[in-house]
Amino acid sequence: MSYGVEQWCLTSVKTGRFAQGKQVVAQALFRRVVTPRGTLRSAVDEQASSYGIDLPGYVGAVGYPAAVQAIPSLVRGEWLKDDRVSEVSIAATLVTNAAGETEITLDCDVDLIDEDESFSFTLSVSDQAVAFIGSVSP
Amino acid sequence: MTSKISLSALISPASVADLYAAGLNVATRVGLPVTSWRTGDPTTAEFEHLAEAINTREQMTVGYIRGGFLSLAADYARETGDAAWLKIVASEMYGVDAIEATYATPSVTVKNNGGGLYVVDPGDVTFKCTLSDKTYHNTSGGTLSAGVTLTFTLVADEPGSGSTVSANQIDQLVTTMIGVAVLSSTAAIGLDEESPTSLEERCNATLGGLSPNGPGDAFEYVARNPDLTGTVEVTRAKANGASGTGDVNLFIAGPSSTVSSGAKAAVLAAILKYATPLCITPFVNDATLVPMNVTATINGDNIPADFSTRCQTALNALYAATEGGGRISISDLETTIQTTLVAAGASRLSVNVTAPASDTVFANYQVPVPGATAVTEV
Repeated sequence: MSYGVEQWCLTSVKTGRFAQGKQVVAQALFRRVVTPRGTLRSAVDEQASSYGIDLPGYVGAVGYPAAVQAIPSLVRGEWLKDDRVSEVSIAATLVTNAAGETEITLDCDVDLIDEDESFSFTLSVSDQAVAFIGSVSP
Repeated sequence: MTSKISLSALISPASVADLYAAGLNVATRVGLPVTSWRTGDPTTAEFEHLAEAINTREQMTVGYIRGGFLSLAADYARETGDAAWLKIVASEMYGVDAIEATYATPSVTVKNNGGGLYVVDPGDVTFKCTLSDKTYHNTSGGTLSAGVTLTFTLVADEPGSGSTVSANQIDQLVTTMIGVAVLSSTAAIGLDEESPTSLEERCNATLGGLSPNGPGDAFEYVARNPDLTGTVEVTRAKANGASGTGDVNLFIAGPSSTVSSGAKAAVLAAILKYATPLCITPFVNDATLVPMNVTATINGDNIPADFSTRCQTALNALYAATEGGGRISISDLETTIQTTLVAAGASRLSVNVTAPASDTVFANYQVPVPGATAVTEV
C-alpha cells in the first residue's frame, strides 16, 4: 500500500520538504494529538469535527499521575480513527528530563493495515507541548 | 422560439464543496497522490482553505451583481429572507426606500387598588397581551398613588403585525406592582416590514412616475410612497380611468383592511401634487374588500401541530401581496399551503383546496382580505 507523499508537517509546515511512506502516517498521527478537538474546521469533511485531542491541555488539566494512566487509551482511540491504522500499542512512563522537568514518554507501536509497514516511534508529552523523539523505526 | 433565462440560474456562487472538488480534480490530473490524503493533512487543509476563501469572494461578487438587477435581488430576498441587496438597489437605482416594520403603540389604563406608591418612569413597566404573548413597555410615566387611575402610553417590544392588538387585549401587568390592576387598553396596529414583492412593485411603478402624462402607474406609485403621502397605511393601489369624464378613480387598501380617512386625504393630496395632470380629476376610494373563504384538506407526515395558524399567516401574506385587478388561483392557494408546511418540516404532503371552487379574479376596485379559513388534516 502506498501512503503517498505529503508536505512535511509536525507542528508547522516545512516548505520544500516532504514526508513519504510510513513517515506520512506517523506525522498524521502526531498531528492528531496536538490538535484540540473542534479547531480543525472544514465545510467538506465530516470527520473534521471529531478530529484531534489536546494532549498538553489534558495533562495540564488532570495532572501527570492521572494523565500517565489515561493517555494510552485516549491516544489509541484517536489513532484508530485513521483508516490506515489497524492496531496501536502505547506504553506511558513518567520521567524527569535533564532539566528536572516532569514529562510523559509514550513508546508507540503502530500496526498498519499493510502489516509489512508497521512502525514504532516515541513521543514526549508535557503540559506545554508534544515532541517527536528520534525517528520512525524501522 | 424564445426561452426565458433565469437570472438566478445564471448568477449563483460555487459552493465550498464544488470548489474543493474542482481543486482535487486538478490535483488528480497532474498526478498528485490525492487518494492518500487524510483529514488533518496539510495539503488537504490548504485545498479546503482555498475553497472557503474563494467561496467567500464568490458570495461577495454575486451580492454585488444582485445589486444591479431588481428582479434578481427580489428573488433572492423572497427565497432567503435576506433583503439587504434588494433595499440597496431600490434606494440607489429607483430612489425607493423600503418601508420598515412599525411598532404598535397602544395605551393602557391601570388603577392602584393597594396602598403602595409607584413612581413610574418611561421604560419601567411591562404589560402583556396574554392572547398573543406579546409584551409592551411604557413610554410615559407618572405617579401611581393609592386609589389612583393612570393611563400609560406603550410601545410594543417587537415590531410588526404580530404585536397588533384590539381594544382591551393587553390584560396583564408583567412588572410586579402589588395592588395595581389593568382596567382597559386601546387597539393599536403594528406593520410588518415591506415584503420583497411589494418593494419590487413600487420600484417598477416609479417608471410610471416619470411620465408627464400621469399614467396609472404614476398614481399608484405616489399612493404607495410614504415619503410623498406621509402615511404607511396604503400597501395596495389601483388606478382606473373613466375616459368619458376625465376622472381617475384610485382604489386603495392596506394589507388586510381599508385605510383611515386621514390616510385617504393624504393620498389625495399627494396625487394632486405629484401625479395629476391638467384637466384630470382624481378620486381616492376605498377598495372593495373581498373576503377569501378558503377550505382545504392536507395529508402527510410530520405536519406541525400549529398548521392551521401557519396556513392562515401564509395565506394572509398572499392576500396582502395581491393588488386590485389581480388573481388568486386554486394553485396559488395550494402552493402557499404546501410551501409553508414543508418549510415547517412536513413531508409527503398533499394539499387539496375545495373552496373557492375556481380561481378568484379581482376587478380593479377589489382586493382580497382574509376571510374564513378552514384547513383540516385528514
